[in-house]
Amino acid sequence: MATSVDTVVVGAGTNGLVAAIALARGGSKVIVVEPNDDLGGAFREVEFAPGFKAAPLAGDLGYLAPDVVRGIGLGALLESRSDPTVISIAGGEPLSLYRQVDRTAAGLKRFSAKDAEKWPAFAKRIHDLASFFGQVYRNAPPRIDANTIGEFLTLAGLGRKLRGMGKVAMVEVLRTVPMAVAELVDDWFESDRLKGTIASLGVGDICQGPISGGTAFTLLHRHVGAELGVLGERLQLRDGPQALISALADRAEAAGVAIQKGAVARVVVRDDRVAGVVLESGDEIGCREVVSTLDPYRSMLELVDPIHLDPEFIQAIRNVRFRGVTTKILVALDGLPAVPGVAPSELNGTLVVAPSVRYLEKAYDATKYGQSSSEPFLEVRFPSVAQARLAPAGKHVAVISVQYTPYALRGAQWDQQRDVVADRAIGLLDQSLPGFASRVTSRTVLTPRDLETRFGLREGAVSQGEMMLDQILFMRPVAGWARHAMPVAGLFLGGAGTHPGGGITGMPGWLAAQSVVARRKA
Amino acid sequence: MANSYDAIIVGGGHNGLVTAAYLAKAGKRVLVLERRHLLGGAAVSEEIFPGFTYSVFSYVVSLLRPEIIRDLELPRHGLQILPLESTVTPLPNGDYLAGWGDADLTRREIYRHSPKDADATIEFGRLMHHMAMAVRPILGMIPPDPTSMAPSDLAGLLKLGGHFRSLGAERFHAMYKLMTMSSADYLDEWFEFDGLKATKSASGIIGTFLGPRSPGSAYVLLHHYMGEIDGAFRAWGFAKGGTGSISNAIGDAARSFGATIRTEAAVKHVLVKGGKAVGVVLDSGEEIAASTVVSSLDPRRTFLDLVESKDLPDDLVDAVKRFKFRGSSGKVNLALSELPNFTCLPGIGPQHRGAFSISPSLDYLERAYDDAKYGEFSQHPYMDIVLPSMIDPGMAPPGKHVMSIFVQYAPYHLNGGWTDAKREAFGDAVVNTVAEYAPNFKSSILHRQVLTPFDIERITGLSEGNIFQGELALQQLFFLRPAANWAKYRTPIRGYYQCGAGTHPGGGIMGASGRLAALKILADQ
Repeated sequence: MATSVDTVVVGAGTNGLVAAIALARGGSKVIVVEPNDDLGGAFREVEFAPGFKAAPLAGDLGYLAPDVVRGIGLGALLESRSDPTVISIAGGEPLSLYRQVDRTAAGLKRFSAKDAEKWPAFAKRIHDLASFFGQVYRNAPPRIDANTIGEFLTLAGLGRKLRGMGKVAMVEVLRTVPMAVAELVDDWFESDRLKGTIASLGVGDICQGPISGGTAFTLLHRHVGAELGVLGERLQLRDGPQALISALADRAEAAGVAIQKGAVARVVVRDDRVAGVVLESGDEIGCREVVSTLDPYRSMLELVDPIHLDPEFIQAIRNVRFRGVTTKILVALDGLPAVPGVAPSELNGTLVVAPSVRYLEKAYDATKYGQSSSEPFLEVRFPSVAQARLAPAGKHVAVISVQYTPYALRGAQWDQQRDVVADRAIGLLDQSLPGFASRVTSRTVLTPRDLETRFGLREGAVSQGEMMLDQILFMRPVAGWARHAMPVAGLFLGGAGTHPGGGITGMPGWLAAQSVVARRKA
Repeated sequence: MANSYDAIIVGGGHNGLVTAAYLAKAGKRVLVLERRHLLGGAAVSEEIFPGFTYSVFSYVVSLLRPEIIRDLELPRHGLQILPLESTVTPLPNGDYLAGWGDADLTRREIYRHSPKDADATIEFGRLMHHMAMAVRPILGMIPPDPTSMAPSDLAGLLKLGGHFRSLGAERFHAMYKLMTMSSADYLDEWFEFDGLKATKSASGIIGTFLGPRSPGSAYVLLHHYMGEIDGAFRAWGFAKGGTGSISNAIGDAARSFGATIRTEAAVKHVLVKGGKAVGVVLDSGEEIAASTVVSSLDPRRTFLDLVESKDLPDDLVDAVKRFKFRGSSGKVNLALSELPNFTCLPGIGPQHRGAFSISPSLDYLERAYDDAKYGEFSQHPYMDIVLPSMIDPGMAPPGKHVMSIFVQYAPYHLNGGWTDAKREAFGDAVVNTVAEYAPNFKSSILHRQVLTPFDIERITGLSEGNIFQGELALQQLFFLRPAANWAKYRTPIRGYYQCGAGTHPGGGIMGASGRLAALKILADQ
């Protein structure tokens, strides 16, 4: 073997880089293997038209956990400034969610005086419930058949955390988590517009509609780490995800992490433990541990010879649901569209087309039968408002998320459907933002199939596995193997497909690194 | 108030009668008050059309707790369960899928459609058996409050924790999946043949406003696996004489222990003095005193109709108002001049001694749900069709038959509301769909009774026509059924208790709520 290191990290996305930095700083010799020229994995930027750039999945960055921010030293990057955070543009005059609770409530009066009155309590409730998950996400999930004292204490600690919230809050967590987000908003509000807006925050990137149980959890997951009163904000970084990736690359280099271009073909297992990796070029790297940030399916079923795995484990991995449903459209614009009552400089939050719960549910129905929504749920961001470098002077970039567009179409091929979906989305947007379509000078459509081929996301699933109740915590990626160490000694998973999942940027990699260190000591 | 009782039970449904029987057995002076002219609530047999007896609402039994059958000696009071022998699903390609009483025969039948599924059936059946066994102790347990520091709650939680730990990680995980997944996703992990998945998933939607692809439906699937007749899991059957004879047997048992039962005695409200229940007032104005009043009605009626909100804490009133009912099922009862001849399995044979399940594919069921989701009844509904007169000839005149069709979905909140015309249109959709599978069917109908959720509410009093007295959704189970802090059969009003299916562990003619409530009342005294 030409090279030999302590740990090979597969994939130089945010999680891979975080894991590599954490391990290297602890004194390990680490190589990150990445097939693309650019680092950043799913969050990397592409130039989709001359002078126009965008990171198609930047909106899914979510939340950068304080443990990662402090641990890696990323504080200087954080910046929260979208205000309004969400503007619902379809179904009548714009409805905006602002950073300030009072300002949101004042605006809601135009839709419902009752809802306006309830808004502060609702915003606080969401914050309180989401904070519980924020706590839970700081550690690997406890094992249910806790055999060691330490694990049992974690389990007991989780129960204590829950009980420590107080009686009312605890009942609320247990009652809310299995609910449909539609029921949650029905409990609080009467305005269809507001209910549609909030419900849209509970169905992002999942193959479920707002009437499906468990989507209240998805809403809470999305608000882990959000400031009190702020709903629907996506992670804002000075100069976008590119800044995070550069910062991680710098810190990796400083910590002595080597980054090697190449694709891992398989993990070498000798005497029942990891001995190295073989690249597609044929090169081998010897190592004690492999941390794969690829999704669980590719990591376990494509990189590892199945003779090293139990049939039950293989079956469990095969059963992980991916089911990507989102198409991303990157659009070059010769100017920003006008939104009544919103200044152009305020268009750095998210615009949504989600006029009601019913609208969202109807959009979801189509996927059950392998069709794309005829009237889709849309989210639109203009990253060039905050980052002028993404477009030539005076021009802008829009990233449109179109839901629902199932990875597996029935009776149609994505090559023929790509433009149908894009035309439909842009046409729909043009109804709420008159003139939008005429400002489009170029567009690139990334269907779930394209996200799979270009970004390595299985079935186009941004979270490397649907974030539903049966695939989170001690069930992620599969039951019994949620603490990042896999059944092959020395093999770890550290991507979004593991706890705490997608949208908690860097945390899976951070926890995987901790697991590596803990196993060495054991 | 001249007469006085130890306990008055409001409502003579099966749970109310179970509570009455247990209390009377313990020596209490018990009075049951039933609004209708007959006992049973939703478990009644009635001769709606001369010579033909319908199990008007609930029509099959499996979940009735064996300890109740034993304690109340129900067979001695006339209870006799006759097993249903098969389930036949007509398939879109003209073929059929059958499940027979004999497991080997069933496996051979599934093999015809998918050898892989025939293998999986064995392992799946074993797992579901273990899961049902794992849930069983919970069904017989007064749910501890996980937020409470009271010694009895902590002891209950420890017991529950110990129970889950004893399951082992693998079964705990399987249980967790059943609690959170959709039945379609859960079955997808096991089977490949669509007709099989559809037929199995149907148990996950019964009585519930969920489609097979809705998370939460896997739990309802498990709920229906918990039945046992003579110890055999997942065995469904008829009560001889119709479902009403279950109620009558329990009623007879209660009387044999000294309970008094009055029919056509509707309770208007519960009398409360100084925060304590002291009796009831009937619609007639008659007042009857009792030191304990037990409501077997659903949570909405128990808390919002029978007592005044001022006697209850606000959070309970809010929780009950939020409690989901959303009745989704209808029922069509028919008198037939001859048996239906199904084209997929022509002739008259053993298949007529079982159920016909109209569940050709998962998409079919899901589309039926889509109709209901937007406020319409399903044009092509899921149906569970049985012919009770084939098993119990006394239900119809010689040569003639009764047919019971359980239909899903018929939403309580229909667009524009239910009218007589809508009811008939719903009945037509049901009859026309069955006729697609059995051409001689339409001309054989002598009489038809169509019941929408609105009718179920009107006749039985079940709010929104929900057959479980409230949905079996995860957030409405165990210590949250019907509401946090009040899941242990007590209410904030001293001496006022609840014993209906709206409490843990829920509906399906289990009787478990009625029994646990009685045990709680006795323990409190």
